[in-house]
Amino acid sequence: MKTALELIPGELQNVTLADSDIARAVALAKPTNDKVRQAADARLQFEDEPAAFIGFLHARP
Amino acid sequence: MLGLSLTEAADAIRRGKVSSVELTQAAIERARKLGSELNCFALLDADEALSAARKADRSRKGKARGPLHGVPLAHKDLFYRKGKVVACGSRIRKDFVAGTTATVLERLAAAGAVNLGALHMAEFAFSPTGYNQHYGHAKNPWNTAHVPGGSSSGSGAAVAARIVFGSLGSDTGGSLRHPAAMCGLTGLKPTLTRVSRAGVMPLSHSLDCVGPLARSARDCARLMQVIGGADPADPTAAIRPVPRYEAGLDGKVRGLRIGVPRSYYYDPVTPEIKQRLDESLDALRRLGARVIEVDVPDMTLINTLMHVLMTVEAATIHRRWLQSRRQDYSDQVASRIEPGLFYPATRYAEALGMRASLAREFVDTALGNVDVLHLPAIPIPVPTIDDTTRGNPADVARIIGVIGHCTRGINYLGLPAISVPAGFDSKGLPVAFQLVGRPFCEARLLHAADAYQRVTDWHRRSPPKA
Repeated sequence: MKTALELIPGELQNVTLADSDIARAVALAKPTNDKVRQAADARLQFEDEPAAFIGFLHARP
Repeated sequence: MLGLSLTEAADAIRRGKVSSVELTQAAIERARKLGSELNCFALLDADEALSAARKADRSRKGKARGPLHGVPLAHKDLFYRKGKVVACGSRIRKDFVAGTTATVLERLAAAGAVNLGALHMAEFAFSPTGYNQHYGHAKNPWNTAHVPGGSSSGSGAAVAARIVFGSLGSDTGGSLRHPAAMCGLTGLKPTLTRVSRAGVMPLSHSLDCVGPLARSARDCARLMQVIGGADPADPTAAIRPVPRYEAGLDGKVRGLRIGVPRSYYYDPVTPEIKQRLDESLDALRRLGARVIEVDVPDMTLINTLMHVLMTVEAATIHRRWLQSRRQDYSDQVASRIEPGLFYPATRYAEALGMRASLAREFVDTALGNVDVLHLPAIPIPVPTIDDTTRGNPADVARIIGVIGHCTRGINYLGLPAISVPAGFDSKGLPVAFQLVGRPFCEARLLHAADAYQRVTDWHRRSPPKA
């Protein structure tokens, strides 16, 4: 049985990939997804909107 | 003549010591002689270049058009030039004819530069070595068995081989700094948005920067002066004024505070590279700079977030081609894009959402008490082409991964960084350090690099192939 992650490219992205390519991508994407989610759980605030980054660049020369 | 720096060549033309036609003819001859061997040109436009050079010589008798009047340059093959094929190192776009011209190319032309053609690059700018399965590897002029660095590989090879005086490239995770470091050149990745990206094939909108690759910090300063600034065609381009970069180069760095990180950056550095880096710090100390150890935040997290932004945005750009023309991608490039199809929108938004706080933390921690950071550019010796293409796939992946160890996180943070030649290893391949600054502090980086280059001559050394 395929995991949800393995189903994403065909079902949601409309990109057909060989099983070996899916396995390779999932092997990378799974731990990366986990790491980003854990970091977001630990530090991301509701108020942290992406556009704030450009504001930061201009505010901190 | 081709051994002059960009600024020396421009000044020689202005004073009538040499003509643009003479320089351009010499550049064309060298491109014909070395271009194939180094595989650094995607397109050599000799007739158009000579025509532009003749026009430059005629108009110089009145007044020089700008600070690059008559100087032959060539650029990475992802800058659109109306009516020209811009293949981006790919098979997918091998017949793509641009309908517009990139703003940065228009600015160079307005400053009087002569365009010699388009330079080879990694497929869709997706390799730190310059790997290109479709059109072959560009070669490093210091030793053709070695990679020139990528993805602006042709830019590195052509400028180092003294074919052209400078080149524009792009940098998403180190694509200007890698070829600069590996080819003994100076390469500046500006602050995100400092330079217009209108008319440039994107890899990742959140990370892409356009910048100069040349033989010295002074050359980069002159190119940055021309290409920087607001652009109606690119609403993301910063509207803040462009400093007079070249005028600020006075060689004085007494009191400059240089941060050296305690962790992460030196982890994979080999002893020989460390030795060259230490020597570069000694040279800066002798000029009166202060070297201070600093802490840096969790760079492995920053690299992970950079990876999510890059692959999701690249997958968004390439998704339809991946569906319809997967066979036209090399496996190495497709396999780097495809993970971007597997991240939920929430991960992408989280990677963007954490960016401001992480950048603030980095600036406050690593740059809080210093003016610039001094880092390795590439932590290992320049690898051979075989090292990065043959043998155990795990070893190949490890080498390719470590090349960007010190560069890719800087793109997530949006900060400016410059790669500066710092000597050679025992095999005669270049070694480089990197200076990183606060947002929009390109002038300070150029100033420090120029001061270093006034007391060293690494940037003036020519490779055997030149």
